[in-house]
Amino acid sequence: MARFSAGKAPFIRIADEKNQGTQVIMRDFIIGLLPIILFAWYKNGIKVYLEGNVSFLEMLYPLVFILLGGLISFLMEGLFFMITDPKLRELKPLMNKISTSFALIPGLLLAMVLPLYTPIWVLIFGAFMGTIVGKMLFGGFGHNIFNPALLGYIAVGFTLIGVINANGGVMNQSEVLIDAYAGATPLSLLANIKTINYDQLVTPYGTLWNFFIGTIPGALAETGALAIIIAYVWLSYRKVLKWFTPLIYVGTVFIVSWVLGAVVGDGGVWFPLYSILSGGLMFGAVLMATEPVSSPKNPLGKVFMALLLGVLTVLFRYVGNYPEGVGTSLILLNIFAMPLDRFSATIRAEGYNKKSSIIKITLFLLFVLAIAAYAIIKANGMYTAGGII
Amino acid sequence: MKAYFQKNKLLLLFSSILILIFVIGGIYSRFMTNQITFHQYKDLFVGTTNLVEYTPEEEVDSTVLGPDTSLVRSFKAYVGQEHKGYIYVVETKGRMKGLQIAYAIDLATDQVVGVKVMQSKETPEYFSRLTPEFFNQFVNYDLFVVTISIDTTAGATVSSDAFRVALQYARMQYMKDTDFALPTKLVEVNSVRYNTDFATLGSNPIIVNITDLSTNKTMDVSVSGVFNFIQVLTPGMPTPSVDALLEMKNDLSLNYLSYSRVYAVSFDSDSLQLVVRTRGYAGNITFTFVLNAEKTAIVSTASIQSVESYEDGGYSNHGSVPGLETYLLNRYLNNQSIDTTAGATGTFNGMTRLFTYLDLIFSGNGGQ
Repeated sequence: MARFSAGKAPFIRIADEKNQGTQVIMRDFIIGLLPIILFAWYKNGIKVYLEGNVSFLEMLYPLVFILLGGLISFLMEGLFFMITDPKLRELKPLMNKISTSFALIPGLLLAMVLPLYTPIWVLIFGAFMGTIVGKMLFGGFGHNIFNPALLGYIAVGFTLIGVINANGGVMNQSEVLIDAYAGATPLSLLANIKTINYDQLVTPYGTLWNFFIGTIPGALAETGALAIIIAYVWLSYRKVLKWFTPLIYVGTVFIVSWVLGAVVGDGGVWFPLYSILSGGLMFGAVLMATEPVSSPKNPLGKVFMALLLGVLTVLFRYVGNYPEGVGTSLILLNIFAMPLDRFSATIRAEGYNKKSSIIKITLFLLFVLAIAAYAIIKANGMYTAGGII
Repeated sequence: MKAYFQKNKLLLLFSSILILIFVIGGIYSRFMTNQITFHQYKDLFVGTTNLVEYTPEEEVDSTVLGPDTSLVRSFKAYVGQEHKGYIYVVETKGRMKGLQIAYAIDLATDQVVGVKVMQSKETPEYFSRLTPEFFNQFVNYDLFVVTISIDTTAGATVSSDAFRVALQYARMQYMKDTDFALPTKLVEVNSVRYNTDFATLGSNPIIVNITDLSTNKTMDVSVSGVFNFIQVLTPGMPTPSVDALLEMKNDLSLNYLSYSRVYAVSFDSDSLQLVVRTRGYAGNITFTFVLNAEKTAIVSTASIQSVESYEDGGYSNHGSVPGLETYLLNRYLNNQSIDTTAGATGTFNGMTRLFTYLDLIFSGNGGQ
């Protein structure tokens, strides 16, 4: 018997199958998602119910919505298997197949990053784009180029965001009553006012503590930074993800945002904190940038990807047309995962202290710095530090 | 058929569950949307038990009030089965595009009974100056006036005026949806000018030439700095009706606002003291000047009362308030050029308006 399982990456040693096999990873991943899902339910359902703004049936909706995402994804994958392979039209072989395919995950993640008032048919469309188009048509688990959930999210975001907004949008029933929010999430507020100023960007939502806890407007589960950090610690401990990828990604956004804020006129540490605690950065860094199939396989490649993700997120977020830049950066880097893997593998094979490797790494870092510098220079012409009478 | 179902039962089961999710989940999702919509708007109409969103049969021509103003949503409000009124969500432009304001209009009284900002891209620093008092002026606002007029808020003038535009649009849509019609115009404002006669400019600072359309008589009337009627100046003319005077005030507030930004408060012919008030950034700046005997020039400045706030922003290097006012006044009195003061534009504009006004009243008296 071969020592390593055959097929495409990610590889796993057969001897470790019981401890780190696909099913174990899936179990650990689901456990990691639990605090985030529970927080999303608490923030958008239980808390709103306790505040007297929704009925019991409405209180259940956020949880039902997320679970439905997973179920839809599961059903679609099952249907795809049954349609394409008649041998899988019996329960047992089908379940054997699905159990090693992470069938629930794309829909679960997709539902977690969509606004609360996303119509169910939009969720089904997103799950179809993620599970069928993004995953199964590429050959199923292990063969996908794009992160399936991300592809579903991007497909929905670019085509149906108007439908979602018309359906109720992102704010729960307590948040719509808060005049200070004025219908805007922190990032869309910044995109509107183009002013880097604590009083204008943070104060309407309370303090940065609210950003950290996650009690600010945003998609269902993306705001719960604390819950995501708990998931990050768990998933790192269980070796489901490489601990340094989210850290470098978030760290890069932190540093570049800090410099950007200082260049615009406000060098306070609040702005980089606002940057990393707003929108879907934490969620994307922990649960999407670490997806094993659509990201580079070797550690250096992951570092390169995380650095690029950081500067591209700042570029797209603060210079681009849309308030959020995480999804676009991730989908772009999914495309470049393979070249990055090869590039970094070559460096590893040559040895880090070789002149050619040093040149390659230097050139790469200069490229990253150039993107960061461009983002900062462009942003300097677009934003002010506020306070002009 | 039975064999087919037997063979594909799992496939059919999965498909059925998916369809079930589509249907039942869709109903659940629709229910949630209805709930949040009701939740968002119910406070506009006290006692509302049901809101029905509808598309008006005939919409207001969106070009009437400019391309940035349009109807976003419209609802019929019910209490039980009784149709109580309408809610219009109008999008307009304040300092930024995309300001969405909801107005609730009571069918029985034709009055606005609620106003709410649904979406704003305005600068929070300015927008937060719209106090509850600002919003309260819309409650029970009677739409049966020729010209809609509201009190704007200093420091958020553009944003607050957007509420007037949005209300105007909502009223136009209300007219399309119901048999509500505007009242007949009662008065025509022909012209406005400052009173430059020192004998009366304190008591009658602004003179308005109007035509009372009910009697078709044209006359001069005087109004205060806030456009309140003072008296009829043309001898033998009857005082227009209260409604006509209210309409005149609305018209002046809307179309001749600049006259309320600077005006004489009083003139004492014994001490030759002239009190003039001009609008700065944070509020009024009041000057007391002593004039020469010919009333053609300022001899000295007795006092300056200012509540400007440029000092807080560090925009003046002329000392504490009224440092900038004193500096600009001295330059004016010495016939020196008046340069814009960056960052203290509101104060600067107030001062230049004052100088223009002083030039006007002095030249009316033979001065320069």
